[in-house]
Amino acid sequence: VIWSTPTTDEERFLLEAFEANFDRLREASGRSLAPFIKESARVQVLLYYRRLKELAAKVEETEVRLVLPEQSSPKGRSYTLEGVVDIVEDGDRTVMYDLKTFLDADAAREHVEPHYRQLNVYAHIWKGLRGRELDAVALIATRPTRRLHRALRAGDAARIEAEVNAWEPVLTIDVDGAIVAEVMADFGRVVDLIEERVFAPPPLYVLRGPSRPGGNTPFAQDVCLNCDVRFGCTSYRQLVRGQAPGQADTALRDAADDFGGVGEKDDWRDSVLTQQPRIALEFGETE
Amino acid sequence: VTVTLDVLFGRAGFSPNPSQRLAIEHGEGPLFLVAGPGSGKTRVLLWRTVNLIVIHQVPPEAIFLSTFTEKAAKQLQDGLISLLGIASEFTGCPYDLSGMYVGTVHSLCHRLIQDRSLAPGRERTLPPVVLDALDQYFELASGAFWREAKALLGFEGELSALRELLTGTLDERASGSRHRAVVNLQSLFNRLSEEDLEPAALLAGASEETLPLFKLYALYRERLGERRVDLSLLQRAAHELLVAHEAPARRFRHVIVDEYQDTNAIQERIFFRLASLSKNVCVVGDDDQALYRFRGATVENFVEFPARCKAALGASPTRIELGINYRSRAGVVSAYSTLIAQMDWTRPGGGQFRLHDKGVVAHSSDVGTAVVATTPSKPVELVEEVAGLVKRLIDEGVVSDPNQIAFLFPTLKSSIVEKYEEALRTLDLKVYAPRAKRFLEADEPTLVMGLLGKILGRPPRNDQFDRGEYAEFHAWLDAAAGFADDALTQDPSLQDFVRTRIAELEAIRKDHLALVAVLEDNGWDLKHVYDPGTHKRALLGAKGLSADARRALGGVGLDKLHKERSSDGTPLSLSNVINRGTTADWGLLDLFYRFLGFSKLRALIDLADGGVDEGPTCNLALTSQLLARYVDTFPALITGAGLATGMLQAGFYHAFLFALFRLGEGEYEDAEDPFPKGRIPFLTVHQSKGLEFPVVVLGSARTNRRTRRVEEIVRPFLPEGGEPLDRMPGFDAMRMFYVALSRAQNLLVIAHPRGQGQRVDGEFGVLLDNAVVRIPDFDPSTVPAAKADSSDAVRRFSYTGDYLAYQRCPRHYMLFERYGFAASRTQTMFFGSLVHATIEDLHHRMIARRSAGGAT
Repeated sequence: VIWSTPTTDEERFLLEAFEANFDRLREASGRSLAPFIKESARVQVLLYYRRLKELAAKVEETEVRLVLPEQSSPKGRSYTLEGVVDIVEDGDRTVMYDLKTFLDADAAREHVEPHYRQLNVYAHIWKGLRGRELDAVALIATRPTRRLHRALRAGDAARIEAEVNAWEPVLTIDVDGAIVAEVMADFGRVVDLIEERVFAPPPLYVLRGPSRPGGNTPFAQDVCLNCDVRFGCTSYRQLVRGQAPGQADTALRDAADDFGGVGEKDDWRDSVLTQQPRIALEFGETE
Repeated sequence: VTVTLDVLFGRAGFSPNPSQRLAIEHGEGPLFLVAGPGSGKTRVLLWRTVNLIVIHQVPPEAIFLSTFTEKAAKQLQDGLISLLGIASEFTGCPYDLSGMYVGTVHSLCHRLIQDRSLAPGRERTLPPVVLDALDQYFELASGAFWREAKALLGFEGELSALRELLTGTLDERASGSRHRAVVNLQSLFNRLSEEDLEPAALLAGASEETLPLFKLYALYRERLGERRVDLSLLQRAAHELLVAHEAPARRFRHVIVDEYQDTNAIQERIFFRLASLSKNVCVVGDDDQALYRFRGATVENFVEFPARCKAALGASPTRIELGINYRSRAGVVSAYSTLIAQMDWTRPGGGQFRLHDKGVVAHSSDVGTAVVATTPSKPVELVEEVAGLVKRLIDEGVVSDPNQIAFLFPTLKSSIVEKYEEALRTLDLKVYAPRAKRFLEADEPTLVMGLLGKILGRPPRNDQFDRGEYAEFHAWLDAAAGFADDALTQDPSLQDFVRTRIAELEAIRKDHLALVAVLEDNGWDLKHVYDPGTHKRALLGAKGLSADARRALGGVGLDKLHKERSSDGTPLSLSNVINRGTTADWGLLDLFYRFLGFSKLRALIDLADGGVDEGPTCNLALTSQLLARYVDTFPALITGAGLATGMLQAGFYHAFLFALFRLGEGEYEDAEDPFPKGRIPFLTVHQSKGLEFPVVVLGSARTNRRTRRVEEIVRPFLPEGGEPLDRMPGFDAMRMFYVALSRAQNLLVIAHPRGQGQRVDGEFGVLLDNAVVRIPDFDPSTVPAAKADSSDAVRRFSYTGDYLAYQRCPRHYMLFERYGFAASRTQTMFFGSLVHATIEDLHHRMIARRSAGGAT
């Protein structure tokens, strides 16, 4: 039996819902996913259920909108701060969970700071709105960790089961409120910058540095390579030029001609193949 | 803990006038709010909703609030969130608006159909695929539709003759063009759907002339099938659901409809049905501002609301007038009030086609000159006079940005529009007119399409059609090629880039021919199921196959895909395999974004950083959306097959770009607001609906008054008592000018042309008589300075969508969030939505199961 074959009604429901959502999103967006990316989404959903079904059974609310009105920026602009919490468990304990589909738990555990900031603010708003404390706040990093990923790829059922059981995708975040004032002040500063249309790209040294504090992946690889407008970006161009001293023009040309590695190109071809056009065309349709 | 409205008013700094207060505090029973221009209608709606939620403790999810645009819905939500946040501080209650229905009728219908809280077991229902206006156009323009139409009608001649026959009935004059036929059919079909007329009933009541049209409507409905709806049929689908189930009528205890004068027949049925149990329907509007008859709106819904409401709900509404205008100076209010009174509105047999006595008065006591006219003169002189005044208003600081002066026109397809633009340009003033003439003809889209043409190759000009819009289209393609040539000459690296792409396409074309030759040699059909054992080796042996194609056909990627597709029952065909081997590594949007890296376009985008000139960036954003639209709607084109079969010309150039070119302004999307800094907006009066500007120039006070044929065609199927067909055009012209004039806050400028062939509509005589102040006699310094930003809406910022995104990269945020560029590669987003949505489904199922378990 292949690991990802559904074995219960619940799992069959889940995978049917998955297929229906895939079709719905494909119809609505006109875009599609390369089959192997779709498969990794399927695996993530199934993993979530198999590892966290007890937690899922206690979920009371989903997509909870958190709103903090009447905020004022340093330059006096009033604004409303908004956030959405994915799930809230509200049984014996009240716990707020934020779901991150692009984060694996090992990576998240090493860089908890950004989540600490975000979830402390969310917890603060929750308390104001509901008038009661949360028992805990946590992050769910649904992307398989490296170990789990390797086990899945190897396909050995016993090893996968062991890794799934060892997997700890839920990360509890400290809620001490200490950081809230600092984050809110920074939020207001950013509101002013947006309203004043200050849109310069980050400077070169940011592109060269790690994309997360203490991380290994440079910003340029993590962020810029996924950005459609990088070719028009001063900082990115500086970076490319600087990587090939004396051959800056050639480097820029090569960058513009580069449409990804073999894998990326295959994904592209496959996603084009599975697109579902809304309007059919006939050949030779001129007036 | 409780709170009163007065405490909240005080806290928010709002002191309502007596009729505003009445409207806000009205609780149960139908309400008829007649709201003149600038009367604080949005504020009243906002506070009325706060009153319901906070004071009367109506749960937000029991409120259905329909607005005319998504922008209006967003503003209301922003305002509500802010006011309810204040209320929370007093009451200690959280107010979560995510369950409240706020939006356009279309979006709310869409939501109703897929609302799982109204579905058994909270399951996600599979919503219909919605075709918007442009999709609908393409559907009706498709070759298959016309082939079936011809067969259905048993028409023997050429298609162009059939189209002449149809447009002869539908339009002012017959035309053999596909485009004219399609836009006319589209307008008729939408009208029929919105009047809720069934094909069977139409066919039974058809005349000889209208029978073919109704047959085509039946064909269109049949072709859409069960799973696809257009925007009009979406409303019918929602109505059907409401008739079949009582749950929505039980859930919504208050139905509030803004801009009620622009609702149509099916919408009226939806609202009455929703309010059938609660009787709480509140409609807000102004018949003098009804603008959308051409989209099927029925102003009678509003004018006759008291009687219709009594008939539908068995209760008469309370009528409240909001008449005090807080927007405009007294002279402006007097001008539009005077103008509309020039029309005879009497109904034969008694009564009026217009609501009178609305108590419209200016709040401002400033009686200084607020309306000026040009010297009666020829257009060339007149536009110079206006441009001169505009320049002074800017230079003397009466406005703080050119975007505070709006030019409004009945239509932008008029020669005077260009003359104004020219006169302003002479004075170094820039215009923003995304839909004046044609958006595609603006500099940025022209350059982008020109560069694409250099790579894709442009379609040949067919002498047979080389006239009219076809000729104009090709002239534009010529211009685009010229723009591209200039850019290429100036930038050798761009030349390199284009040359490399051309070489890639050439290689794909050759690969395709070689692979097709293999199929022919072996007698295999393109539709054959691909079997690696049989086909792989032969395909790889194709003569002169490029390394790229060899990799795509021989690599493990294809083997994997083959296995997956075979196991899920959709095996690959030989055609799929050949396409996979001969697909370019990029799409149209990829090319677009690479172009942005070359100096010419890069410099344009940089202008928006800091807000120097946002015009080019806005135009580029729209261009990216158009390209995304092609990619999302039509089959992929950059494949060997696409290149070899002429699909590229047929699809991108003729089916898509030519259609957009002909649709011109107005069809693509709603007006932007705020308008880009540094530019003077040129708008149709329709685009200006709901907006206000410190200075408004009415660029033309002239209309062509003809009854639309669609009105005559549907009339026999409608209830009696509607506005007489021959008086409709006059009524509509007056309402349009009423809207135009009432957009002005401080100064209204009216163009007064004179000379051969020049005129203004007769009703303007009273405004342009000897008493009016002419521009040369006018001192602009008497105009009060414009307020910096009159909108008091509090903006919402999301922690992840704004704050984190901006922190990560302000430039990415700027283009994709602020200006709405369409992303090229969307796999990441798709992936995230897919996982989130499915996990959410799981949670909903578990919640539903638990509450069912708890109930037993």
